[in-house]
Amino acid sequence: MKKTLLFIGLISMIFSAEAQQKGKRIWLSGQARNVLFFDQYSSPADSISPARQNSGHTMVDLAANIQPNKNTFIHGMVRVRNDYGGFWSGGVTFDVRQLYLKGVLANAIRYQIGDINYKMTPYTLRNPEHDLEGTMLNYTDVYQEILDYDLFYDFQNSWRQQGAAVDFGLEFKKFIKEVQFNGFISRQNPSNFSTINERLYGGGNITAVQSKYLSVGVNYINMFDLLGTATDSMALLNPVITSTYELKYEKDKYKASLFGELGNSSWTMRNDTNSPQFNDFFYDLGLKALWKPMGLELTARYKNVGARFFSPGAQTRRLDYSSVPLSYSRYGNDQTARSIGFLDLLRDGSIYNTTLNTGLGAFNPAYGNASPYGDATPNRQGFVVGLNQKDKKKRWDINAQLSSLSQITGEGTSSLKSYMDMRARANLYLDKFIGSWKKQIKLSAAFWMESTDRASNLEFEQVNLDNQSIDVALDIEVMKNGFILGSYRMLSSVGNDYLASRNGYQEVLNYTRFDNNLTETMYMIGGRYEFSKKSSVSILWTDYDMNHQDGVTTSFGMNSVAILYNLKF
Amino acid sequence: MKTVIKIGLLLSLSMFWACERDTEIDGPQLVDLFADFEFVEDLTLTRNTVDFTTQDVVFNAKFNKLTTWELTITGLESQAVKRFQGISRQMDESNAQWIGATTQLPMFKTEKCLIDLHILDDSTHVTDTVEITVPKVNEGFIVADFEDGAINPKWEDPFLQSGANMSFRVVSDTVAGQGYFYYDMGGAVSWDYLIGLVYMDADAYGAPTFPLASNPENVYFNFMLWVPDEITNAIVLFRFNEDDNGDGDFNANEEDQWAYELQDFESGWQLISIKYSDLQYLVNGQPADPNGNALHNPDKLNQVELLFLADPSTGFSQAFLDYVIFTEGGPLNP
Repeated sequence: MKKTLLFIGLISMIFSAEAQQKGKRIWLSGQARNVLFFDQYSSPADSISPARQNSGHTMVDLAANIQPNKNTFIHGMVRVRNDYGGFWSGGVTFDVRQLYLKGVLANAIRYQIGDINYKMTPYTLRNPEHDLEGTMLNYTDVYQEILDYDLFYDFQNSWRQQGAAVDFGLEFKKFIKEVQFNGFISRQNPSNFSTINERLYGGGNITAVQSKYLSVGVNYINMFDLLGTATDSMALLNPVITSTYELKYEKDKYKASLFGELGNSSWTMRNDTNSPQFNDFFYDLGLKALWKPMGLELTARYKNVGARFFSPGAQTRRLDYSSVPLSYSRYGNDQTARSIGFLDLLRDGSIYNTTLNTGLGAFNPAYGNASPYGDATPNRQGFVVGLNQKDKKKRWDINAQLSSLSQITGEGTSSLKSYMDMRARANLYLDKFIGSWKKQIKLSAAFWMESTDRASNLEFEQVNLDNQSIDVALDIEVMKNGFILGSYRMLSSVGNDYLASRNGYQEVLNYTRFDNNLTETMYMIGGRYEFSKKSSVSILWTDYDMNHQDGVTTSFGMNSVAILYNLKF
Repeated sequence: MKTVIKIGLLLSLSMFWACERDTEIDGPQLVDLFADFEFVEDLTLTRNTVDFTTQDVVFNAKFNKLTTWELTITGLESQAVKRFQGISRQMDESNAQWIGATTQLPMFKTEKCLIDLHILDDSTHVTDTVEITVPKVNEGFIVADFEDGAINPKWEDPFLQSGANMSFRVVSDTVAGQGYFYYDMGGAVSWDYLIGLVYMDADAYGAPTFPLASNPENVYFNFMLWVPDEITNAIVLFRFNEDDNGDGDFNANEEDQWAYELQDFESGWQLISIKYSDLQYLVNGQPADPNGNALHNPDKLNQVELLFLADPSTGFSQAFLDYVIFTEGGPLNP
């Protein structure tokens, strides 16, 4: 392996030198990482699972960046990874991580072919936030950044696709300032030449910027099977069309805008006599106002998303809750499959989706029941109100959000569920209050409370699920670029709900009762040293407990030390 | 700027256009999945005494949820069984109307019947009784039901071998397939397959041919048969002799003889029905070209022959026959 890397390095240096002589540019970039976890597991109801488990890996991503001319750029990246315990090529993997070509045609049309990251609107194509991301603090980003980088989640809510994208714009002298055109096509799955047709996903948008005050857009996206690529004549067809608008107004002291998106979807399996056809619509309208002197921003939205609105690009979840975590995947004396806890959310890349789903994926109501599929969660209507305030002297920042939602269509009953979600987060920079202290002291806190209710005279129809979480962290810079961190995170979920099981036609076949009495806690103490903005090392100790009080599920604790070293170049 | 505001307001208002939406409840009803079973309306019968020539019995009940149920009616004398099954929220004439028919032979008689409604989801049983004053009368041409206590005296005399333990007699028993009598065929013949041959002549009913429709797709031959469990060698062969040339007689060399052979029987009374057009000409049990016009002509049926056979090396054999009837439009629904 060392020889391989040495060979790649030498070749790159030779190319680089030669290229510079000809005015072309070739350079290398990448990332190196070392991650080690030392886990100590304990459970009073488990005498079978081993008490300790160590894992980790070393990894190098090496990218060749080639710019043969000023309008073309080629990027190819390989990954060499050696899992903990792998020596002398045992456990070493060598993969092509990404490959794309991009450029500008005729100084007007930008294009990218190969691996593309694409996003559109929250109701057409948008990679949502992580579960609990909106309710917890971001001090665990040291873990999350690794996952996001590996899973290509780190491109502003875009989904990594394989295909092609183009965009260009036209400017006008009168009436309309500018019209932007964007389009893409990607392949979701290949044909097997018999029962599975090739599935493509494509679309685009046209945005007209009338002035600095007004812009409107039309978005179209479609997940479809390409007939003729297999002998099967049945083919998915799931188009979504939406329109967006934003009306802005700004003065010295305030800024205000009206914005919104509305549209509809259609879902059917062509040439399948058993397939239903679903058509439904949504609208999401809002206003935003910023009072500049106070740094105070208020947002209010009303949304209505039909129960049969299906948009795979907007509703695919990051977390696949039906999967089983890698670490202690079976536990307890019965060696049952372990459900995902919030420690797994931070560390385990195997439980995340990297491709789009055509159905509504499994989720854990304890981690968010009001909007498990993001803004495009079907069967929801109601208000979302947000408040942000940033101190002009950067001494604090606060944000809070209140959502009051309800179902539009009953699930198994005419009674509707209602959802109340309240969350708040604050960062207090204590060092700003101490005149002589130059290093950062950051105290952060987050609180989340969510309730799901369904009232009914019939006891079995009643739903009452209460989730809440508290997250507190103190981050102190004790030496230049050296930080210590102490935090406490707790999540509790008590109550019941019903979860829908759907078939391949998106029809609800069954409801499973979900009863929960869970408390998760995590203490974390650690240190981080930033060698530079591109290089850091962290050592973190976490004490995590997953405590089920339902009398059925096995509770356990995980005491863990993690060493994370990251270098970008 | 005013124009922009107007456009913006117009856009905002346009968002609230009237869209129709299907707000039908999603998925199965929770009450069906999670509620405990309850009767909303108890089981009732439209009558407890019934004459099936003019009446029926409808069982009515309402449940609080989609329920898997089974209603069993058992004749206390005949042991005949009629069964209704369903998954529904209620029982009514659409799923629990009894016209006197039977699911498990024998047929019901003039008798008292026990009714048992079993709610399978809940193991609940509800019972009642109904009394049959006149049993169901089936449409069709009855060739033989043996209720006179003997075979039709106008039939040609049966050919019976001189074997051992020969029975070939009408027997009275409450468990007859229909009514109180059936025909017992039995014996042991060590030199021939044939044990006995019964001729059912059309002229015994006053005409040279049976009064059947001409379309063979529409005519069904039905009979009830019970081969005792210990008998494994019985062979029953029906032959249908047609008078193709209309001379009032059947000539095997010139006219069609269709046949239907049965072996391997299940336990208890069995109802066997065959469409006339499915009958075949058989030679030594194998299909062959018929000798007549090769057309199935039920309206030219002159004689039905019943041959009771067994492998001579296997010893005694026995079978019980009851309720031989032609029906039109479909097989017998007893």
